[in-house]
Formats: sequence, C-alpha cells, structure tokens
Amino acid sequence: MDALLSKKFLDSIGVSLDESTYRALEQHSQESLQARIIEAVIDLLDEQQLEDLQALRLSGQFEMETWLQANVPDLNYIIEDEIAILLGDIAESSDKL
Amino acid sequence: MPGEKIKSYVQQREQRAEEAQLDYETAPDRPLDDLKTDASEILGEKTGFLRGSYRSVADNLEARASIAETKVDIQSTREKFLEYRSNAAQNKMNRINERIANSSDGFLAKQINRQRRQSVDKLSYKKGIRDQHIAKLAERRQKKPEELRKQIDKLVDQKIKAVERKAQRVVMRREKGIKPHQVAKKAEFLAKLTPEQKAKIVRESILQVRKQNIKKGALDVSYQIDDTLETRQIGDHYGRTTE
Repeated sequence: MDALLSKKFLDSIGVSLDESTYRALEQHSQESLQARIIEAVIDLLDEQQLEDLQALRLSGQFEMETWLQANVPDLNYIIEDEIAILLGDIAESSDKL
Repeated sequence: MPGEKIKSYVQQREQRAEEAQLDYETAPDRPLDDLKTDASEILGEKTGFLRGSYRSVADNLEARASIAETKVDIQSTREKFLEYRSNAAQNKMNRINERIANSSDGFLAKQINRQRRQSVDKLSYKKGIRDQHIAKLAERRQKKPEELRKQIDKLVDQKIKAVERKAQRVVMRREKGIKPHQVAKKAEFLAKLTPEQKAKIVRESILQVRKQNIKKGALDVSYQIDDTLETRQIGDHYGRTTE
C-alpha cells in the first residue's frame, strides 16, 4: 500500500508537492481507501454474514481478513476497483493539487 | 380508523396474492392473450413500503450503473461529463419552453407558466456556471502536454469503469435475492471497528490481491504452448490436460 501514491505516480499526472504536503496527501488517501474498501465490502454482506463478522470482531480469536477472503468472493475486484476510483479521483483533481 | 384501513389493505393484498397464485397455476391452460400478469407486482413496486424500499434501492443502483455507462459512452474526461450535463440542462429548458408555448391562456395555466419560467431561469443560471467551468477546464487541459493528458484520461477511464462495476455488483447481488442488511447494523459495525482493525483488514487484503496478480503474471510468462503434449504445465503448480 505504501507504493499506492508514490511520488512517481504524482509526477505522472503532473503533480509536484513538497514533502509535508505529500505525506499528508498519502495519509489522507490511505485513510480514504480503507474507509471505502471496508464500506464496499460491508455493503455486499447479507445480514447473517455481517453478524458473523461482528462476532469475529468481538471474539478476537480469528483474523477478520481471512474470513473476508473466504466469504467475499468479489473481494479482489472490490479492492482493485476502489483503488482505481481513488487514483481516478486524484487524477481528476490534479489541477487543484 | 387507521387500524381498519390497514386491515382492509392487508386483506386486499392477500386476496390479490391468491388471485395471482391462481393466475400462475392456470396460466399454462390459457391462451397467451388472457394472461393477467402485472409487471409492477412482479417488480414489487406496489406491494408495501418495505418491498418498495428494496426496489427503490435497486432502481437507484441501476440508475447509477446506467449513468456510469453513459459516462463511458460520452468519453471520460471531466469536461465531456460537464458538457453532457450542460446539454441535458439545455434539453430540459427546451422542453419547459415548449410546454409554456403550448399551454392555454387560462388563469391556472398562467400561474403554472410563471413557475415554469422561474425553473428555466434557474436552469439557465446553473448552465452558465457550468459552461464557464467547462471553458476553464478545457483551457487548463490544452496547456498540459499530450502525454500527461493521456495519463489522466486513462486513470479517469479506469475510475469510471470501476464505478460502473461497483454499481453492477450491488445490483447483481439484489437480483440474486440477497437482501441488504439494516443500515443501523452496518453503522454500528463501522463505528466499533478500530482504525487499526480497518488498516489491518485492508492491508492484508491488498497484499492478497497483489500476490494473486503477481502469480497471474508469473503464469502468463511461464505458459508454454506445445500442441504435441497431452498435459500443459502452467507455472509451478497447475497443469491442464488437453482433450
């Protein structure tokens, strides 16, 4: 994930930032991506699956990510799409950066 | 009495459901023209507010998918999308103006036309702002080198296709009959998920995607085509027997 918003990527869309702004943007992008992926995954779960996941979260005995990989067949596509959406958002806003 | 009204409504619906069941059972014996299928009932638009709510969620998503598709069709740059919206506003203004021109001279018609003119003014104002924005974006775009423009267009293209796939995924889940969970449960789950848990889930999942994509890449590279062999070895772990 560290390489998601590299300086090389920003250069490729004509964005040049100082170090502190770059760090802030990277941090913000990571947080946005996390929130979007989690929300997109949860949107695809049915009620029972959400309850199962909630139980896992509370028990802390089993890794939630392993459960998601086993129970959300579209997980890979969700991640790829959310990354594409985030990078597209950044590219669209490149004039403002 | 509200209770009586609800009771009567429920009875009516039950009776209609029985009729529909009978209609379904006797359908094979009747000519096609005599079938009484009501599409709105099948879609659930008029079968109570809860069913209607699920339907409206699905309709909304279908609309989003179709908007995303439209965006793909009309090129993916932001200017083109704004231009599309601007044209849509112009079409709407034309429609309203046509209605004003074709309306009668009565008192009520005059009042309605006054409101219609206000709508046109509002649309025209918004369109003006949008047009200015388009011009500004186009100017900025022209200043960018060709390669940079292509790179941005490519990323925006990918984004639009991803948005379309995302909407379609949810619609397909609804079509398969998987009902969404309650919003309150989702909100509760999200609220209780710590930032560390979120980060861990996403990081691990991205890692898995990366691994799989890397493996796919490795498979592509090491795929050997030899028609004389009965078994084709792909990568280190997968072999396929030819028929």
